[in-house]
Amino acid sequence: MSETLVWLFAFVALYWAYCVFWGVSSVRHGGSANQFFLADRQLPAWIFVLCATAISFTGWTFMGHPAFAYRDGFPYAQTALGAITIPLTGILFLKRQWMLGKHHGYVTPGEMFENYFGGVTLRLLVVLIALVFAIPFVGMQAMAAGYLIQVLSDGVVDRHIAMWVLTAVVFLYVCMGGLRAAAYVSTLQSLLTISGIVAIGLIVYGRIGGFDGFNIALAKLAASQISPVGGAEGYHAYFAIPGVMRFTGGIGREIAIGGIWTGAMILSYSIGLMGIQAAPAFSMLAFASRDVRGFAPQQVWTSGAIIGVILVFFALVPGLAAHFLGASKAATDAGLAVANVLPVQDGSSKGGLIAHYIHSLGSYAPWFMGLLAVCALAALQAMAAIYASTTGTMLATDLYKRFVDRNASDRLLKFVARVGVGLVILAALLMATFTPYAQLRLGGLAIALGFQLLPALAAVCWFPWITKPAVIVGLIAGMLAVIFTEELGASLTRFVGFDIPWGRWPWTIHSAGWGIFCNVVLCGCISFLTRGGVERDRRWRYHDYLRQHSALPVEKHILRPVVWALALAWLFFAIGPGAVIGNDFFGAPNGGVKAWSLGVPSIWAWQVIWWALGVLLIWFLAYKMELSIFPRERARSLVDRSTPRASPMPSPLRLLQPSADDVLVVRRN
Amino acid sequence: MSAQKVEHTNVEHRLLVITSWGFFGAFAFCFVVDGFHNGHLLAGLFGFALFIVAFVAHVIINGIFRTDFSAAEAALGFVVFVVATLSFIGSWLLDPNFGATNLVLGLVGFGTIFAAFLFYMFARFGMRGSFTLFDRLRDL
Repeated sequence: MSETLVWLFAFVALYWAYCVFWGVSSVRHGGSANQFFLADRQLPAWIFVLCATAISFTGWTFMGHPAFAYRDGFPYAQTALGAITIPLTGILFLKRQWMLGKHHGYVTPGEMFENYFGGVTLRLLVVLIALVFAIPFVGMQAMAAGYLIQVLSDGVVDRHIAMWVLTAVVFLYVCMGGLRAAAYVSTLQSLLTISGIVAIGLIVYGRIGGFDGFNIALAKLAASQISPVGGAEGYHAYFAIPGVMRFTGGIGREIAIGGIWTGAMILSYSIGLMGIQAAPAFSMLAFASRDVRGFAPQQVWTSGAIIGVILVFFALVPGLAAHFLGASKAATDAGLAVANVLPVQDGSSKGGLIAHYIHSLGSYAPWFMGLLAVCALAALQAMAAIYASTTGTMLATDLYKRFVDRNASDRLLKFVARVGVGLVILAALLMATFTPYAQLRLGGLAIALGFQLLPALAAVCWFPWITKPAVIVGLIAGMLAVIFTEELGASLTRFVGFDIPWGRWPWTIHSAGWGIFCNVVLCGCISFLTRGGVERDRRWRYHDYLRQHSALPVEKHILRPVVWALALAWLFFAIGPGAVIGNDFFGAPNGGVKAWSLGVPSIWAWQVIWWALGVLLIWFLAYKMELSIFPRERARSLVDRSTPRASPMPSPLRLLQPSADDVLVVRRN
Repeated sequence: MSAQKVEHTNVEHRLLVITSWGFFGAFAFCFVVDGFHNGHLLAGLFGFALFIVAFVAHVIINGIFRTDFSAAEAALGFVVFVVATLSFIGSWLLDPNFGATNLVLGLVGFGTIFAAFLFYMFARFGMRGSFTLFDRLRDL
């Protein structure tokens, strides 16, 4: 066995030991179903911060972002501002979901929707979305992990075997400890993910001659004619967003000049990423939190600031620098390569680029190769573990308990949840093994479908005038719009002998954009038509509670229009049509380093500036507008109540051990 | 404080400690190995610095949770330190390829860790208290 393999297996074994240790440790503490499902609603703030970060970014940041940046250049890299849009969902909805979860004792978001709207349709749709989210995601992450091990072991370990074995360990600790084990393990996974991306970024900077060397190489690339799709407006396609929108038939139908990453695509994709924190798993993470103290730091500092800076400066570099390190044959042939450490990459293998970077360390520092391999595995498995755990819980609570046995014991529910976890992981692995292409198609839907829950969450947390039929019809329409603007829809229609006249992402608008457009329009219209009725009073009781405890103080109402203006301006200029201005605002892309007034390509400088402004925006929303915090004085007044407040809801309530900052009123479990 | 809350606190403390050592320790170990194996003095020193960061993080975590090093933690740390130091001395004496860079790296690195430990002892227990602890150890 080579030295490289010994180090690889040693680090993987240590990582497994850590995972299994927390699985075993959690099972010793996990007695009731509530402990298994939601870690007894006692996840402390710091675990929430790390866990939420791990499942928000993980494999996408580690493996996907550099690979797409390599393939599509800076226009794609503008989606790094997802570091701002992803936590935006949390800022808007997480605190209020947590309040409702504590108040009513919800375990799953499906339970919350059924309780709020009445009727089970929405609950079933949420389970469906959770399954469509979890199975392909778990499978895709497993596939990437298997491929990583295959590359790093020089083919000694088959990727399928690696995939099954690695995922079996995930199953083991999730099955033993439920959400608690997954959250505990995600703390180290989160740190490893962040440090792994930074480490790889620094290694690449070192190989390419530092920050200056990287920019000199970029200037040469920008002045060259090496571009797979041809640049718009005379600029290299890797350095300029190709306009606001392209009215093309979509991928598979028509090639967009300058690439697909137009302003409309960046906007729709970036807001589609909000689906990550709108997904059912995230709601459950909010329910499991002991208090809200972790929400704002996670959203503003960890996601916005730390992950943002990592995406903008470190995850981008391995992608674009790959052109100069041997991955691009055209660039090497044109004499742009500064080293030859990577095999030629065609950009289709999303995990390949990073796997080869890590592999390139094996010859002189195999210990670092082993450690970075574990960093990559941690990035890939954090999300898989949480999604498997929460989906298992939803199968037990939303299906088994709701429809089969309402009086199921804790022991039985835990068993059903474990079976659910097993089924999700088994389905994911079977698909990854036998139908990987179908899995990739389904995976393409996941985030866009999760994003379709936004109107439903908006109804529960903010807008009592949104009605149940409106949410259901909007959600179904949104899901259909997503499916039929993705490859899956085209495949389905071809299967029944009909060919839709567009491809994937027509008009350079992501499926999440098409879905939410249909969803919101129908939701608004039907809400208007079905307003009033007895249901309205019921919904208002929830909003009375939310307003009573989390309404914005009157003296801050004046800030509302300011916030709206700032948010819209940020969306327009950072990730929307206005981002096109950034193409040459700080110098023509092909003008060389001297023409770049900030020493970096104009579009990159634009991204950095709007990232910094984005952090400022979400800080303002989370802290100043109190969307993610409870002001201390108000929290005290709540905690100081000597007797439990009479609840408008029928469920038996009690005051449960208020923490220092927040009142916790929960249903007896 | 209820028994359940105490249990949660203990688990959180253990999780923080293990995660902190798992994170800093893994990188520290790799840098130290790189320093000795490839003769990278700065990388090796950075690795030892990371070990000290992990130790300081552990002390801070203990401070937050108002606890001290457990007997198991102290024993494990002591054993690992002694084994690593003996390995270093053994390599120095027996390995003909052991260069001056490795020697400097080991002396500075292990010496700094030992100094950090002594500093902690004196700051935590005082000069007299620290020696009393050694007396207790002798009496065992």
